[in-house]
Amino acid sequence: MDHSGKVLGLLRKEFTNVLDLQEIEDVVSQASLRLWRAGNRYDPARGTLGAWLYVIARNCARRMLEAKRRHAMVSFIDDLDSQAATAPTPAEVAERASDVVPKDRFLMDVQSCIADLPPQQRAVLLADFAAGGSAPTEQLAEQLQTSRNSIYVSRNNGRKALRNAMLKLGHTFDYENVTALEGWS
Amino acid sequence: MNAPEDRAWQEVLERIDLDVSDADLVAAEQQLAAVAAEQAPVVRPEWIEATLAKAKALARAPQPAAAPLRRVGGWRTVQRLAAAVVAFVGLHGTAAAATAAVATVAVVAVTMLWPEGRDSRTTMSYELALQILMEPTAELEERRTAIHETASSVVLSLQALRQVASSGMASGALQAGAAEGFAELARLLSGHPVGSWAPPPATAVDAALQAMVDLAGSDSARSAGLHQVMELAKAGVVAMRSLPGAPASLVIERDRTLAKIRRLHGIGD
Repeated sequence: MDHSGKVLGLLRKEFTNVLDLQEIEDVVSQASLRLWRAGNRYDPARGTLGAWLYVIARNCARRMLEAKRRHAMVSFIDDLDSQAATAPTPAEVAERASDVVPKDRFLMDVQSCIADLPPQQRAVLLADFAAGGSAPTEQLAEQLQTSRNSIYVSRNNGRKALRNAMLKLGHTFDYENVTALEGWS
Repeated sequence: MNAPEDRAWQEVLERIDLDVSDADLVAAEQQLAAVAAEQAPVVRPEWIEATLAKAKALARAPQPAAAPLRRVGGWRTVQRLAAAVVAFVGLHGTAAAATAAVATVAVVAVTMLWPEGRDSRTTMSYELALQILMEPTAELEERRTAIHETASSVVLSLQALRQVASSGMASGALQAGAAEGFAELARLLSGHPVGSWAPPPATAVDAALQAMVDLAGSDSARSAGLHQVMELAKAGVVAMRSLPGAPASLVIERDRTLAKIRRLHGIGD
């Protein structure tokens, strides 16, 4: 029952030339983490564990790829302001939203909200988006030629702004009901 | 990860990644059936080697004068990490050897970095922590550390029980057992009579937890792990609630700790 081997094989085939092997392995690890944390959503009646893992891993890969594409557009902090002009306007977002099914609506809203953030916040959140959590702060600080503290501040402010923007767009969050071990220490 | 924005961020990622439709699953089944499995190891040998080398290097370095609580915190982190890594590797379904290798690395690193023993003042085993809790003559600082260590393991056990109880990857009997176990611990934490304390079986908490959450394990092995987790956790709660001969300050700290556990898991007083 080697799920990860088959999933790796499929992902390598599907994302060849756009994600390297290390990234694909990261994607499978992220997918495993997601599936583990959300074990109560796994319903064997709907599909095998391998199928679930593959679908989630593919979602993770697409998220990582999307972040990479957007990050490539804004790879240098000096270019961020000029690139912001390429972000979709609210009118464009609304127009596109009418054409998409609800499944894609959430993702599209997240992307447009991130695109609206100030340059450094956007760069940090895109890196976090690719990492499926939080990208290494040290590495980000080096890439963006700033301090670690500045990255922390951008991350906090960016996430706060994203949350508020998503709420304004009518999305709600269930996190209040989530029990977490992280608070314990 | 306590701030609302961080939780919202986590939820954003989970919603995107866990967006799984029936059509996606059907297509995935077909694709999986058509592809030959690759044998790429999820845990690479060089990672294990690097971890081991790091552990050895740290062990050779002069020991800092560390505060006991801080060191115990490190030990707990490694425990959690080891349990989590083994669980994930189990989920990947790769060779059992990979699981064994990760567990070995964690155990070796822990053994080298955090020598056991009360006298070392660097860490204490769960068994020793319970023993100290039940010793009226034990030093106050040792008992405080013992409360912290015991509570951490109880929290971890509750978290794992809840996870198994709601997991689609556990059998119905295991789910029911985990739910029953959680409820029993909740009752003990809520002030129900605990009875007299008895030493738990000589099993490491992390080993019992790993057995319980091991997705590659048989149902009977996971049930045995659940039973051990329950015995250990119950002994911990009983010891914390008993705390014979404890001064008022320690009782207050114990009560705060119990309240924190209840709050974390939504258990009523």
